[in-house]
Amino acid sequence: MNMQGNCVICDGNILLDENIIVGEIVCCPDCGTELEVLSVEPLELAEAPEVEEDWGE
Amino acid sequence: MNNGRVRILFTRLRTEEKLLAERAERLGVPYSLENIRDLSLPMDYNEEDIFICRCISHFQNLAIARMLESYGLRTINPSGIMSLCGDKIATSSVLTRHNIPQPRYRVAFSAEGALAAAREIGFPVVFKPSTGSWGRLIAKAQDEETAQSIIEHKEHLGALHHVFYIQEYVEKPGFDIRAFVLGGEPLCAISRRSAHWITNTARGASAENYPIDQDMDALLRRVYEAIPADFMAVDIFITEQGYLVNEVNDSAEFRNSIETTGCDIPAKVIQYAQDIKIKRTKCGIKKDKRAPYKGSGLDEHTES
Repeated sequence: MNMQGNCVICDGNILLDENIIVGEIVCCPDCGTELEVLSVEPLELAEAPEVEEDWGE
Repeated sequence: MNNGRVRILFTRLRTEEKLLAERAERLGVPYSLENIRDLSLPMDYNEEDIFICRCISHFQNLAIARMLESYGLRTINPSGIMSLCGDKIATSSVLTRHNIPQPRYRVAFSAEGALAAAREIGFPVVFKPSTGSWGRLIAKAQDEETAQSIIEHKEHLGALHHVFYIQEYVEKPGFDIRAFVLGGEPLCAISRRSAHWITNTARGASAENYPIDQDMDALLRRVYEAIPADFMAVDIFITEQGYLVNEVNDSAEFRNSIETTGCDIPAKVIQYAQDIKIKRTKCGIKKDKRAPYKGSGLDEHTES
């Protein structure tokens, strides 16, 4: 069963897969903000950190 | 008895880390998927653990690998490999030392030196930050005026940008190649096609299977001799003169290369890690005595 959360920026509704894991990034369908899952039970979302200079492969 | 786990460390969970965990689950390999962003080291460990370091930040990944190695633990990849691959100047210098074909490049330390280097190579040239990924801050200078502007911008960025890495611009046939190598064995390759001259899939390039031919297989094995990474992705240009190694990535993203190639890369990486873990336990190797730089091309320059 999917979970439902709200965007911390625009309060838009976000549907999350039931297998979501802490640390995963989801995108708000309304405003496009990247959100990080801080906890699953209870569901807690925060704005994901911005890309840094040394990020990547 | 083997009590160790394959521990997948991350700071931002990408598809790759999830796939690694999923495959470990499927293969019945004891594992954990660990967000280490709020961790302070030293951390708890079992001597038989194997660590797949997948932090999205190069410097954080390098730091945790170095710390784990200091406890005698085995990391994939070793920190010496991360040091090499995370620095394009280090990568190029090792490729040069091993006579592996790559685009012509120069390194400079001042605006004047960078401009002279660009002239020497001949325009167009590509300015790359020595550390960076996903095609970020890579700039093509068609001519001297553009090069001057890029250099001026770089002078106002941080110290990392004050070592100029300038590479010959290689005309591509609309795509470049990314090849994956695991434990020295070439696994599979994709072509990355884009209308843009930057062909990273992170920038929207499309991926197709690219069968590894004999020449590429031999080249990849030579790259492994120079940079003996457990797991790496080698970016290759095709030119009339043959293949050129553009970059070597130690923390490769592979989500677009599994269905494309039919090669289950994450399953193979997990199996490889598990095999190392079992081998270490069987051999009674409790501490990894190997110098992290050994074989990485840096050993001759490492102070004891």
